[in-house]
Amino acid sequence: MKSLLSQITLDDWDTQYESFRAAGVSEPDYGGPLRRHTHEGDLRLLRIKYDPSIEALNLWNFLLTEEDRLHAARLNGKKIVGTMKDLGTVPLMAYALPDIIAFYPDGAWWIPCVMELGAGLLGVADSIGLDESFCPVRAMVGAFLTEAHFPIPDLLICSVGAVCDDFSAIAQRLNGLGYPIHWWEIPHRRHPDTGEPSVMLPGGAQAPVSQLEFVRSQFEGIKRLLEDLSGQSLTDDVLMASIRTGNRVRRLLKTLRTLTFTSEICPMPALELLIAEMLAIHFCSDPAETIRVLSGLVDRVRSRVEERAGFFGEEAVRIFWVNPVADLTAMNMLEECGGRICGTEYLFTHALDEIPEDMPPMDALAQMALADPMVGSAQDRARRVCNDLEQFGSEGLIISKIPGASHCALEGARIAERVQQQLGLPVLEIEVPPVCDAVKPSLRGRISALLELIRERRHR
Amino acid sequence: MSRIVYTCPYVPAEWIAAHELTPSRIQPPGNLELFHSKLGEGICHYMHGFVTEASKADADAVIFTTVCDQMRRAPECMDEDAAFPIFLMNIPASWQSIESYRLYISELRRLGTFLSEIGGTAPTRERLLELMRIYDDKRKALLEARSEMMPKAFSQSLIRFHRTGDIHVEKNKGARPRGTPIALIGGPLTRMDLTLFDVIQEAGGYVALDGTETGERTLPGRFRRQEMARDPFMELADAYFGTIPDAFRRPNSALYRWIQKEINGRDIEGIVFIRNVWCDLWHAELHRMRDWLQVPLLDIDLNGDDPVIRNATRIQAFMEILR
Repeated sequence: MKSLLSQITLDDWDTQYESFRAAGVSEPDYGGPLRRHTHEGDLRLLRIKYDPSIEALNLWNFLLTEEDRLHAARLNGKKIVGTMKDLGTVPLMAYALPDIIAFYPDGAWWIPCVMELGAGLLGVADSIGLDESFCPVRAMVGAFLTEAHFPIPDLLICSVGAVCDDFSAIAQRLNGLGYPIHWWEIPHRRHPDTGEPSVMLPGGAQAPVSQLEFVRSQFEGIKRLLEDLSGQSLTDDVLMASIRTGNRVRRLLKTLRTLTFTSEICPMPALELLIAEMLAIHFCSDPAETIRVLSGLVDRVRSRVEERAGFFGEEAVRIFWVNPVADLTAMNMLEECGGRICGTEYLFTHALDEIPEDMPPMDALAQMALADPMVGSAQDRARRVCNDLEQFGSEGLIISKIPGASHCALEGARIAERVQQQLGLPVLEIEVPPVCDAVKPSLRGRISALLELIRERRHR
Repeated sequence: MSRIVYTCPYVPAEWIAAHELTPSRIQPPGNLELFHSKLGEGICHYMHGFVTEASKADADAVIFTTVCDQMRRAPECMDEDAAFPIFLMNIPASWQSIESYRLYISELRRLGTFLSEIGGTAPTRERLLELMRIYDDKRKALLEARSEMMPKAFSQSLIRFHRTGDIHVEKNKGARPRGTPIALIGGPLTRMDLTLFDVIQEAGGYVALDGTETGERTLPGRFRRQEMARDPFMELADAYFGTIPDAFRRPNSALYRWIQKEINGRDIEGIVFIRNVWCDLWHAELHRMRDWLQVPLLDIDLNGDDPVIRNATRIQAFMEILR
């Protein structure tokens, strides 16, 4: 049987939540009505369309209570490590140690969207010279200076080298304002020279062994810092246990992504899937709960697939999306225009691929860090996008440029060229600001045109 | 001899020359219709200008480095049918660990292998030593001649030295720079951007310090003779990786120490801060520099167009205020 589900608004969620309560549906300790977050300033929630399941509610509540968890951890005597830029690798080292909790201050880049600029973080960034020519991650500096969001970490660790200039410059600005940072170097991933010993990384890129050894040496430095902070030894055994936890999360996400991208009818909307994918980066400050939340989502999606239930109908245009959006409502917009997500590359595929467990854990982490799509060439990134596009049967590509980001101007064109040449698929480049209301008509028009073109191609 | 083209100051000319190849560190001329028409939003005009100039130059190979995101990705902007080999050299942003030094050294060795493969000759220790002495002496001679040259002529001599290895000292014949001493601090200048020297001079000042990427800030430190004799390759690496201050380094505290020292030493009264549009690395330093330095600062952004039309009025006003 086919059953078409509909996304719901926040108003609908109020009613839905009451019915869940009346039915005695159990919730985690961070649960509650979604609307309560709007009272704390998360006004963008009023304009979002949601998956109506309890599992999706748990996902949203888990995401939106992270700051509470961090503050509670501080009160409970845990040490807080701010890991910056590498997206997915260093937190696995931090979480291997008891009494350490890790998070990405980079995540503050969504605060201007979620709070509809109400937190004033971009204004704070402006006031210290980080204007709109920088990527929205500049909101991070505002979050540090206002101390109104996450607690100031006990230790800051930031990757530099083959990273985007925006982030590197913003982190240096933070450092210049008096926040000590441990910098570690991630070299530009190069193709091995002829005859040079090399390894195939998770995700399919190749790297010279010498670069792996270098990254491992950087991780040795981080390991010492974490050991000093925790007073405990970061042995291979505890690190491997952390990697196994990370892999559980990654396997759950692989299942979730595959089910969502390949099902005839979309079993999970784009926005919830985006948030679920983000959990892989640092587990929203609670690895065990991440596994519970994702397991719930996988069960829900699996049952929808079995029942042939889902959103948007079979005619929805299958779109592969590159880069995360600064405004979450853009994902809703794609669906409102008649599309659905069938493949994503949100700049952290290396946090989704499984980590090798058949080698020393520091080597495995070095491999993951070097597999970062930002670290290599745009051609490498384009190759991965093409492979995934084919695997998931996407019909078109949207590249969402990040406003101001130093890499987007060059990368987008390379990825688009490759996809057009290799697969002959249509590509659309858009730019989504943190609150995109003002440009919504033009964004909607551009996305609609792409979808229309794809529908027309179906009938040729 | 084959000509090896690059623009990054962390590439040692001596190392290329020691492979019996001709090092040529170039600056794009600026205002090229060819590259300007292709320039999309978000793309650094200096990077694009270098790519264009390198493609046109009679280069036998081009070296790019990873000092910024756009230069790191620049090889992908080169024509796929480019007739010359391309080398991308990893320059670590971090510098406080021995591993970063080792990475730079290993990249120098990898560059050496590349140079040998394209027709160069692996250098002997003696040949490297000889060339290091020659280059060191030339840089010393250039710096000593600075006081006898007009500022623009000095910067032009630096450009010529980088491009050809020759030193050409055009003495000022008694003329002295007059007016308010100004420092240019910031990213790289195209050759056309040197007209800023004239604007500053006409407005009643002179460039007493060219601290741009293409100026004297990025000259490597003097080689230490004892260390050089003991291990020339390591001394070469140390002089380049260990002494050139820049905004991209993490942390970039050495840049601020260098600027403060030079400002004090040359009685600088104002700073003209140079940043290329879309260069985040320098742009992010603007506010900090304004806070940190005790002299007035004027922010100038360059976009590949004529810098005079774009900035003359602001510079004139700045100079008036300083007077």
